[in-house]
Amino acid sequence: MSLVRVRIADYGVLRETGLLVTIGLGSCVGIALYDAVAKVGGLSHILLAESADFTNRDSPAKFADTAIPLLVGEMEKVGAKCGRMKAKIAGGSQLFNYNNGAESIGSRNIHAVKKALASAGIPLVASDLGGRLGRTMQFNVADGRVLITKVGQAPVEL
Amino acid sequence: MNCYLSESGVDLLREIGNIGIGNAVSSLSQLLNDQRINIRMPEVTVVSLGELPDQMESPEKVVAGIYVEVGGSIDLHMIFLLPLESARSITASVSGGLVRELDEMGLSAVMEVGNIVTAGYINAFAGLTGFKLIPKPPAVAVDLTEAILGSILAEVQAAEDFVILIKTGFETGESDIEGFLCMIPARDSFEIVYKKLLEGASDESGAG
Amino acid sequence: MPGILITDDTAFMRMTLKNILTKNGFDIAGEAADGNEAIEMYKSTRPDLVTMDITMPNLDGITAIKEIMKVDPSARIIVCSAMGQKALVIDALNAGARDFVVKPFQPDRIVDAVKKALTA
Repeated sequence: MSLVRVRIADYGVLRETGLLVTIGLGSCVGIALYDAVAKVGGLSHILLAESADFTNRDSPAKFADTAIPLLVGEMEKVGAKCGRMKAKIAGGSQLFNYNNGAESIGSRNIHAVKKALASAGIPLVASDLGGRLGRTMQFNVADGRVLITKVGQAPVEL
Repeated sequence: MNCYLSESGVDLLREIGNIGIGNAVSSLSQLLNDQRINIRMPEVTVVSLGELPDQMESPEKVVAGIYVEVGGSIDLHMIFLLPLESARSITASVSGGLVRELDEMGLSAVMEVGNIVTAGYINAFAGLTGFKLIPKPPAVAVDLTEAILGSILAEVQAAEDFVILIKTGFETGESDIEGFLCMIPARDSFEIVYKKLLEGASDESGAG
Repeated sequence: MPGILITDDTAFMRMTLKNILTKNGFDIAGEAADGNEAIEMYKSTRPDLVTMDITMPNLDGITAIKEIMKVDPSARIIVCSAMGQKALVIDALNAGARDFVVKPFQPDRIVDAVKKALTA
């Protein structure tokens, strides 16, 4: 079975079988899109919320608003249809002990991902978000299950 | 280009890393009752954001990470990473055995050590360049290396797709304490440093 | 006797300073975690001496020194910070600090600095 590691500001797509894995989502958000009919899965690891806030947009997988259209397009290339996709997302935590009262970067990322999913018309079916711990996400493309692990905690299935 | 660094640029950053870690480790040594600490050769690399965690040996390992944002004459980021065992040993040592776990007081001790060690580094850097370098209060987290580094990149809203990483490692002989101290200069900062030090080389009265 | 006001953003360093100072017979007037708290506690406790960190959230130590000196021009303040850069030491002394102890320090160094500032 193939295993594809998805790094920060990157994405991966698999068909039929295999694991898409992203290690250590802190304030980043992992977005797993699945077309159960075509058995096509895509996983994206976004770092930042909105590409409009930056002049350098060379890397669309880095931002929530550009990563989702990119991922959808790559999945469609191998037979998926956007209308059949469902989303599971995880991450957006706050690891560092800042207490400046401002909205955390993780929370901003979560909002941007939800907004981008809504504008792509993809329903969000499960999520594990926020808190103080980092997450590792394992996305099984054969059945669409997503396993979330956190340091010192029992794994959770989405 | 984003990912270009000349040979003389690498040499310069390696030298800054050397002087920085030398001073940082002498502070750490004082905190650890004058234990001998060995320094590894500084490594200077230009890496994509995605590759950054892989530079720290095992990105899946749980570590204590201290992050310090530095402003003033130039902007840069300091990251101090300690394996959990090392963080506990340091905490026990600096507290005279009073604090052994990474609870609230333990994390506070780790944060203070991170504060002192990164200050040692940037004080030496300031001395070399004549810059005034002012750190913000440190932040601490215990988690996977990749989660910590990703959070720092998100926190600083990393606009570039590549960063210059100056990585320095250290280890104690007797007590198995090890760790990394890294500096990531902000995009424009490297140019300023380069100019300043080249000017300094041709004009003795340069640094103030 | 009012004693010494300890200012540092990390709880561990406040604990360490408190232990050193009480062991050497000094009273602790209070503990402040940032510059704002230091100013408020200075006004309310009127301590004999203040130990002041520089890098702190909300309000940094150098600004706090200036504010305290406005409230009480005879205030005795010693800086205890890891920021040993010449430019910052000069800033702190110009603001009104009597001494500058660079972290990491030996306990004797801080005790000597406190004694000297209290008798001056």
